Order: sequence, then C-alpha cells, then structure tokens
Amino acid sequence: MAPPSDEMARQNGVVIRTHELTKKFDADVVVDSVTMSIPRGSIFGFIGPSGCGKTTTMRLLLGIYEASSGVVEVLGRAPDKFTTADRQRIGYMSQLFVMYPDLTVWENVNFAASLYGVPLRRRARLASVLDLVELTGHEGKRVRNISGGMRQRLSLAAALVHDPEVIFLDEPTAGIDPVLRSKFWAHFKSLKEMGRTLFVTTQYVGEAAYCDYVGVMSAGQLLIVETPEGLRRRVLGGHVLRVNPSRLPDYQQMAELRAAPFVRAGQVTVNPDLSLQIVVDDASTALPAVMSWMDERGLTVTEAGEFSPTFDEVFVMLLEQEQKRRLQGEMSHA
Amino acid sequence: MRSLTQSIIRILAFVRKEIVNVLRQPRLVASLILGPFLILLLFGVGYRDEARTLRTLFVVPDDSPMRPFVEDYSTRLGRQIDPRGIIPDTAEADRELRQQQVDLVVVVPPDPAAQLNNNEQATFQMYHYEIDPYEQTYIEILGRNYIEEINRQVLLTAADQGKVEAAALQERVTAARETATAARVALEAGDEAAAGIAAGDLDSQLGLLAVAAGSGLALLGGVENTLGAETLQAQLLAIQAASAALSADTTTPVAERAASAAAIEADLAEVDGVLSRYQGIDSQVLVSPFRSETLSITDVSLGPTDFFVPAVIALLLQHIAVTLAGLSIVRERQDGPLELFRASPVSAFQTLIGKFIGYLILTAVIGAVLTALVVFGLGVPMLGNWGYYALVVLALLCASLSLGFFLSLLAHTDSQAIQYAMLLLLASIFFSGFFLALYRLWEPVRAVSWALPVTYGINLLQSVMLRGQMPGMIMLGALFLFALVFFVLDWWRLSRLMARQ
Repeated sequence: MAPPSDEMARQNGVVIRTHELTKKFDADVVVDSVTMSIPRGSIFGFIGPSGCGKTTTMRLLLGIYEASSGVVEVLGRAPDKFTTADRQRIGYMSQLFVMYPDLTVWENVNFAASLYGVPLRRRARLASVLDLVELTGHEGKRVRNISGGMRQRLSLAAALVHDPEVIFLDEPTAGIDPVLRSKFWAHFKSLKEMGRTLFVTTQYVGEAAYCDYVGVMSAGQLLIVETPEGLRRRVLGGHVLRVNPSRLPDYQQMAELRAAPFVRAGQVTVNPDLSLQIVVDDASTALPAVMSWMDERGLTVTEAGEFSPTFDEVFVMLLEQEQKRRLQGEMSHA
Repeated sequence: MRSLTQSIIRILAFVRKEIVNVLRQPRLVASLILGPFLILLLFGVGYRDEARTLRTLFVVPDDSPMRPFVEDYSTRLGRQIDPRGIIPDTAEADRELRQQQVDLVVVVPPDPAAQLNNNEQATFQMYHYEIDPYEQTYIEILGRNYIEEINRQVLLTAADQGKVEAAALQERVTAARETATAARVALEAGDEAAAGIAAGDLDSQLGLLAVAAGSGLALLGGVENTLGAETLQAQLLAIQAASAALSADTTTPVAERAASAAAIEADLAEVDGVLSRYQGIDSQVLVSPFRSETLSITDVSLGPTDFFVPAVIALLLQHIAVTLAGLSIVRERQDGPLELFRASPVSAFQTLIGKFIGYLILTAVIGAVLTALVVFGLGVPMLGNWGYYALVVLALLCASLSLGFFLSLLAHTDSQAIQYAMLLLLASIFFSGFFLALYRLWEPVRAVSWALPVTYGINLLQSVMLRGQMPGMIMLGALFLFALVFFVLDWWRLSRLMARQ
C-alpha cells in the first residue's frame, strides 16, 4: 500500500513505517502484509470492523507483539530495539480501561507519570494534562466512583502526561456520547497542532472525517490508505452527481447517458427514490453538461447537485468492493 | 544519573501504589490485622486445658464377687471417669454406647480369682465409639491408667495386710532376740547345758520366722530387691544358718560361741528395726515407691495459647504476604495494566522490586501491630531480643512475598491465585509443625515441610519468643536464600511475561 501522501511525508518525516508487516498466531494470520508510512504531525485514523486486526497492528507498532515477518519502525527504530528514551517519546491508551479503581484520578495520573520517569516536580504538568481532558476539580475522586466518560478522559490523560511525540490511541471514543467524542477529536486536533503524531483506531467510520489520513482494514489486510476525501473518490471512482428528473429516461436514453463523455465508465444508477446517480470525473464541469443533456431530451430536472455519501456508506461500499474483488480472484484461481 | 533517578521514581511509584491500594480498603486492613488477633484472643479465651471426662458404664453380673469392688472404686478413679451406673447386661451397654449416651463401657471380669488361679490375668474390656484417632489414643491411655489404678488398689490391700503380718512377725523376732540373749548369757556364764537348750529354741524360732516372713513381707522384699538392698527374707535365712551352726557347735571355745550368739542378737535387733520401719511406711509409698516430677529449664511457664502464638503469627504473616503478592501480578495481567507496562519504559525488575518493597512495608507493619497486640494485649511471653524477632519476621516476609509472586506468575486468574494461596495454607497447616511435630512425618515427606517458609518461621519465632534464644543462623540464612532464589525466578518469569509476544 502506498504512503498516504509522499509530499507530506517528505516534508515532515515519517514517524511510523511498516512494510509487509505480518503477524500470525499459530496458523491464523491476524495482520497480513501491512505497508504504510505515517508522517509526523498528522492524525492517522485506523478504521475497520471489530476483530479485523487494528489492535494487533497497534501492539506491533508499540513492541508489545513481535512481528512474524516484515518491517516495522516507529521514530526510526524497530520496536525490539526501543530504548527507555524511545519509549518515553511514545504514549499509549489501550482499548480497555486499565486504571486502578481504588486510587484517585490524581494518583492514577501520577502513577502513569512515574512509569514514564517524569521528574518529581510535576504538579503543574499533572494539573495541565487534567485540565486538557477537563478533569480539573475531580482530582480527589476515586476512579471507581467516576463515570465512563471521565474514565476515558483519565486514560487519555495518562497517555499524554509525559508529553509524548507519538500517541497511540486504541478506540479512545468507544462507548462515549457524541458530545464527548467531538471534544476528544478537538483534543486530538490540538495535539496535532502541537506537532504530535496520533495513531487512532476507531470503529466509528464517521470519525474518519477528523483524520488527516485514513487506513481501512479488513480481515487483517490494509485495504486502502487515503485522505478522507480521497477515500470517497477512490471508492466511488470519481465525483457523484445526484439528479432528480421529472420522469426517468427511457431505455434508449439511459444507454445514451451511459455513453456520454462526461459520465465515467458508464456509471449511472437509479436510486430507490427514482433519482439518478451519475459518476463523473469532475462535478463542477460535468453538472452543466448533465443539465444540458437532460434539457435536450425534454427531461425537466427538479433537483441536481453533487452527492457526498457518509463515511459509513463509503466504508460499506469499500468492503463490498473488496468482497467482490476477492470472489473474482477466487473464481479466476478456480 | 538521570536514568538512575528515573528508575527510582518508577520503583517508588509501585511502592506507593501498592500501599495506597491496600490502605484504601479499610475492611481488608481490618481483617488483616484485627482478624488474626481476634482469632488468637478467642482461642486463648476458649481453650480449656482439661482432660476429657468420659461418661462410663460398668458391666458386672449381679452375682459377681467383683460387684462390691466396682461399686467402691468406680467413684475413686479420678475426674476422667464419670460413672453412669453398673448394669449386668452387655447388650444394653452396647446400645447406650452406640447411641452415644455414654462414652465408655467397662466390662469387668466376672470372676477374676478363678482366672488368677488358672495363672491368667483377668481382663477389663473397655469399649468406645470414637472415630478420632487422638480420642482413641486418649481412651487407651486412660484405660491403662484405670487398670494401673485398680492394680494399685489391690497392692495397697496387700501392703496393709503385710503390715498386720509384720506386727505379728515382730513379736516373734522379739521372742527370738530374747532367746538369743539367754543363749549368750548362758555361754558367758559357762552354762553349756542351758546355752545348748537356748540355741536349740532359737533355731526352731528362726525357722518359723523365715516361713512367716516369706509370704507377708513379699512386697517389702520386692522394693528392697529393686533398690539392691539385702532382703529381710535373706537376712532371716542368714540368721537362721548362724543359729543352726551355734546349736550344733559344742567344740568351739565358749567365748567364740558367745560372740556368735551376740551377733545373732544384733542381727535380730536389725530385723526388728526393719519391721518397725516397714510398719511406719505409708502403704501408698510401698506400692508406688517411685514417682516422676517434670521440670522445665525455661524461665517461664507456658500455656497452650502461648505455645501456639509464634506459630500462628508465622502462619498468618506467610498467608497474608502470599495472598497479597499472589493477587498482585495476576491482577495486573488480568485487568490490563501489564499491557501498559509493556508499552512503557518500566522494566520487569522495577515492577517487581517496587511491588516487593510496597508489600514488605505493609506486611511488616501488620506483623508489628499483630505482635504488639499478642504480646502486650494477650500477655504472650517475649523472652528474646526484639532485634532478632524483627530479623526473623523480615526473613519470613521476604521468603513469603517471593513465593507469593511466584504463584501469581503461575496463575492466569485471580481465583486461581487464591486457590494456590489456600493450597499453600493447607500444606503449611499440615507440614510446618504448626500442630503436628515434624518428627511425626515420614522423612521424605519432611522435604515438603522444609519447602515452606513458615516451617522456618515457626521454628525461629518459637526459639526467639519462648526460649529467648538467638535465631539459628542456618535457618535464618535458608529463609533469606529462599527469598533470593524465588525473587530471581520471579524476575525471570515477569521479564518473559513483559517481553514481546
């Protein structure tokens, strides 16, 4: 899989790089030949269904798991060669809540700070990171008595307390309400603006919009790495116009429309609401051409414009395409 | 230098975290300290150092000559026998025993005299319904004591009878002495005829004396024989031999024969003295001439609670340390923090030593409070040096914590870790000498005992607390070595666990 943006990677330097990274547990291939490069100062969203290998990939990057084959580098070093100093530059928030319920919010963050060797004069730093995750005023509360959302924020604070350069967040927004999710992404954006690199896994496909790059994983394979907009285009094959004529073109007219030069590869489909979905190379130039073509054939257009599917829809389409491709591959082998 | 500082910061993080984590659970702290103390207190208050009293039923046929004897003695056999009646029917006694209405049934031999005449011992059969081997042993010992008491009563009767016989015998001795005096006086006066008559009388009197003394004074003879003294019987025989010689001798010069008569006179005076003393001896002393007296060279008298306290302290400290350490790592693994450790710069050594120090401080404080409560609260003696005591406790805690971490690293869930800790506790109760002395165990099985820190702990704490001795250096060294070996094993296991998978 090609790097998301060679230009950005060149400008900022690559922080995370893998090549043909594979992890097997006995005969099960959990991560299959993953290749990617993530530039410094970006948010990389790692999206895929549950059990597709996202967490395993993250653990390979952190050095918790050993790769079965392939290359992996974080901050220019393979995880098995990480020094204490390297690990101090990395922050990790795991998928499960792993703080101590009988310690207070402050004590938990303080413990995390100690693990990363933060000097003992650290009150200001702890206060600052708790402020960042909006836990100021809750320092003395025991963790067993705080809400799920506060626990997530506490985990995030523990991952950030030592001011790491690269931050791995494993489903940080899982199980929290949309308002808090939005706040989390605002935190991530502010961290990115501070020059940090974030590797974030999520099951919420819609969160892809917050990322600089999105990697979509399915069954251990990295299907695509793109910018959010590029992802839409790659999946849809171009821009999509949605046109709502007063009546549907007849069979002959539909064939002509598919053959029209502004239509990309004959991609015209009829939606359940009897509107037309037309894939074009460039929406801005194709839309007037479509309107003109309709007008010439006496078809009155009541509504027309560029259609922007949600990332959930894009994701489903991408998985369907992938499934189709695999089936074709299997049939050609047969 | 920075790296060392960071390393210390990480270790202290674990020390603090473990201490705070435990202290935040007041019920746990209370049960760790007050629980053991209350158990000891209850044991001390509730323990009764008294022999069990057995409800006893005697079976004697109505026409047995033993019946009056049993009626008389059944109430005089000590507090352990609580007589519940004398019945003739063995089947009824068996029924009562099976229904546990009585604890012991004594079937008295119906005609012991007939058995004795047949050169057989008469047997008292004692039936019980106990299943506890210790209770069975108790009843066997009690049965032996019971029979010894009956035998003693028989001997007492014989001794009293012997004294009556001794009084009669003494009269004969007095008469013989007078005859010997008459013989001596006649010889000294040169009256050979009178002397011959007196010597003849003396000889026949002494012959009768020897026969009479043969039966009645057997008991005294037995005692004297045991003591290595010449028996009365032998003495009388010797006097009789001297008298026979005097009676038959007519050729020896008179002066020499007079001297022989004087010697016989003196010997008879001695026999007279022996008989007087015999009558003055208490029959109880005669039938039981020896008794034992057990004296301890320890400076203090120890009660059963006192004896068990060092063992309980050792056992509890081991159990608390093993349980705390045993749950520690398995919970980090089960609940997820271990994954964070693996991604962080913290090392297996820092994790382990931090936890070790944290729990050592906690358990040492628990040990100190528990010790203060039992020594100053229950008044259990502390004869040794407090420094030695602290050293032994430290060694025991180090070994127990290392063992606890080892179990924690073997377990996959906290319930498994608790199960291991409970198994260790069970093994400690049976094999550490806690209630069974180690010599009672088959030698190869004793290897299990010496694989448990508590075995060393009990031994050392008993020496320091109850004997006031310095702890045995080999045992103390063994405990520290135990701690070191298991710590290294723990370190190796945790390093593997925290390594990349």
